Amino acid sequence: MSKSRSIWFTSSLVLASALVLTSALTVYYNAQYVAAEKRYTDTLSSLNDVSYKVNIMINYGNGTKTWYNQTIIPVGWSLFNATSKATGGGVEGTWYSFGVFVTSINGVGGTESLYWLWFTWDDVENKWVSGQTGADSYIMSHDETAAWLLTDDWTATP
Amino acid sequence: MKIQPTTKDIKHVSTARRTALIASLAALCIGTNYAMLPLPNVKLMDAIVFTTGFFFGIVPGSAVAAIAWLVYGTLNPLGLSLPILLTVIPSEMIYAAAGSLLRRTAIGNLKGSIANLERSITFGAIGLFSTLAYDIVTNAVTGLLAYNSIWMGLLTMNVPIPLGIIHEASNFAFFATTTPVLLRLLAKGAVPTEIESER
Repeated sequence: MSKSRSIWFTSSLVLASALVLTSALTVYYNAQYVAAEKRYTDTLSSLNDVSYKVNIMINYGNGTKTWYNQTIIPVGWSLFNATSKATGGGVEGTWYSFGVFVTSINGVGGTESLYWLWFTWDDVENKWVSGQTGADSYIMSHDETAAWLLTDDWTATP
Repeated sequence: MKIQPTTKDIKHVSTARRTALIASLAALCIGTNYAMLPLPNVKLMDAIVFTTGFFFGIVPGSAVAAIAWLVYGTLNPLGLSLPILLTVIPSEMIYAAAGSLLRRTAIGNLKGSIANLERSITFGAIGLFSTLAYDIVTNAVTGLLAYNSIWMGLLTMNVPIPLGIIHEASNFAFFATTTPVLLRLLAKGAVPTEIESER
């Protein structure tokens, strides 16, 4: 076998071997991907049994509104907990006998005349309904929409 | 005095010496199989069977494959399965056939340095392709027996654990590195009758 032919022959063997191994690896990783996707879908499906998705809006009273849509919370969580999760722990409050009074959201605090009020969206009446309890007492339901408004007007809505 | 015979001289090696060498190779297969038991699908046996087929021919190579599997497949900590055993024995002979066929090519010339990159790569590649053939046959039969589906068996070759890839890659390495060394050792051990009588 001549030297140039020998180099081509050896290179072809190396490439053919690499082709076999990479093809097998492709099959393996594709199977891994399909299995991982199935595990993800199954986990998500299981998660839906023990969690709710809620929408929370923060209205800073200056025209700025921030929406936290499709926030996943465990079943039984309050609006206070849900807002805290949505904002990454950005909620501060003072606890009284009637419940929590929120003093700050995302670093924006109330003043002597500005207060954080909360509301829920009434799908039937198509309007915001003012909260009547502390936010830690209000248990959220699936697909519910709630809002926070920083205002000095107790009759204002988000 | 010629002390390292070429493959052409193998026919002149005494029957006793040939038998002893083949038995030693079968024992080496069995011993390394048990020693490498913790490593799934990593075995020196395939390279040894290939080397036997290359050096002595397809019949001795197949004999080594059959003896090794009859012992290792029967006294196996992972259990005995007769249908699987009856599949792997003839499948293992693929390596002996590959070695025997390769011997008839230009690569069959054992002259030259043991560290011959081209020869090692050829051995490695032949090892990989033979292993692929072995894996396809054995997995197809296993699939047929276990799942009643050849395709299911072929799929399990690399799923969920890439055992086929491990088998093929390790055999590429073993065939490329171990076979040249074993061939050199066999060439030293397989002294032709006329030389043996001179000693």
